[in-house]
Amino acid sequence: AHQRNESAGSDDDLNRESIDALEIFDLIRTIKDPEHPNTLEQLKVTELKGISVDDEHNTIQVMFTPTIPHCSMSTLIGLSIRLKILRSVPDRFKVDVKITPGTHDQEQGVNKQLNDKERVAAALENSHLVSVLENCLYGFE
Amino acid sequence: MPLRELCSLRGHEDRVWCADWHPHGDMIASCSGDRTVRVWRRFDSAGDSSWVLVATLSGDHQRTVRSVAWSPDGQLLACGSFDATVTIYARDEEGRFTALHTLEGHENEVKGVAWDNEGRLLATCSRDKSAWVWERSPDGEFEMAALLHGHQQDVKHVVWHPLKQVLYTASYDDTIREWREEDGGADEWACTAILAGHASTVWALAFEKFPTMETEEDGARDRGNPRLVSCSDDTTLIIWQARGDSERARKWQQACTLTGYHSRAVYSVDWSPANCIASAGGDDRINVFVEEGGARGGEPGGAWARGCTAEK
Repeated sequence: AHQRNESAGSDDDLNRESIDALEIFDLIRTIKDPEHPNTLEQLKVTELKGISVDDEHNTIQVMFTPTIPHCSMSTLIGLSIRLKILRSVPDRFKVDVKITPGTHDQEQGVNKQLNDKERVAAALENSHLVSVLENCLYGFE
Repeated sequence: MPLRELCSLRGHEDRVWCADWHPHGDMIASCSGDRTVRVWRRFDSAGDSSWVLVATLSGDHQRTVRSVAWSPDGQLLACGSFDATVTIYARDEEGRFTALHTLEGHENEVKGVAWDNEGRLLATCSRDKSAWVWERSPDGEFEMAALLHGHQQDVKHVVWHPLKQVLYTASYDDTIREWREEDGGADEWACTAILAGHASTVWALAFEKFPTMETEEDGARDRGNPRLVSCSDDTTLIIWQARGDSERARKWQQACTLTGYHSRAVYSVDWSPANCIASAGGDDRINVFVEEGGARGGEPGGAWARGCTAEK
């Protein structure tokens, strides 16, 4: 379950596997909050209605809602959502992970970090950070 | 003028972050998340050309190699890495590469490297919000000549003016800054302009190139002031033009904004000697723009049109 789908990313349209919002929700609902013994679904940080998938145009957008407007873990939560999706869906997809508008003091700053591919790539080279993220990702599976 | 794929260079085992043409045009250096730098060479025979991997430089960087740049004489290759260091490789007559120097000083990820037109100065930039200017002494050593602080956030990219020792930096703080050595020298560099216009991270910069532009005298006499193009996370490109009578009074103005051609961040841009601008975006699209009427240095707001597009 930790590996990218082998048939994914193929140029062959016959192998094209379509994805919908429910599948994305199933991937991220079990992610554990870094500070609580609960899942993002239980805390209503992620909800199905915050996810939109355009399979034809290869885009996935996930909006998540921090538990409090000054939650210092928002970047970590966003990264865990991004990492789980990155490891699970075909690489034809462009993924945007954002804070639900109006639910965080640093909304713009967190969104900018989470969607900067260079900062994300650098963060995911940090083995300590990745082990923290993996604990969130797979703690409840 | 359709864009046609000539060749695909396969070998890297992770995302390729940057590629740079050797000044002779027969080699390309590329770098990747696989922590290696690879050098590819073109071989021509019977009107056909093929590209071959001729060197894999590995073991010198512990993390992603983010950027590569050949020196103007083609003898040295500078590589900046997320491990906060820059490696300088030398290429000998047999085509072998040796790591000559490791430049240390940045606090964290190095994002960009660029040589000045003389190959004497090397600029590097980092997530630590600074850019460094390194000077190559006659005995081949590199020393820090200037430490440029001013950007509020990561410095994503550095380029030199094509004729002068003036540096331009692009940042996550949405601005571009111009830096030059203060009159009187003494290695004191100052920020002499801030170009604000983009609504998000500025990812890359490129100067206008002329078919022959070898010395400052040529440039001043025949070519005026080269324009600058920037590309951004805001999905646009801006063409900047410096106007004003004297060098010091010159102000950068937005001559043209290219909007609506990319649907996601624009990560890379370059300006060809034939006066085309190429941009590459997160929408998997490459756009090539041409200046309408074929004239150079058009009026403010001068018209550029998309000549062609290639999509994945």
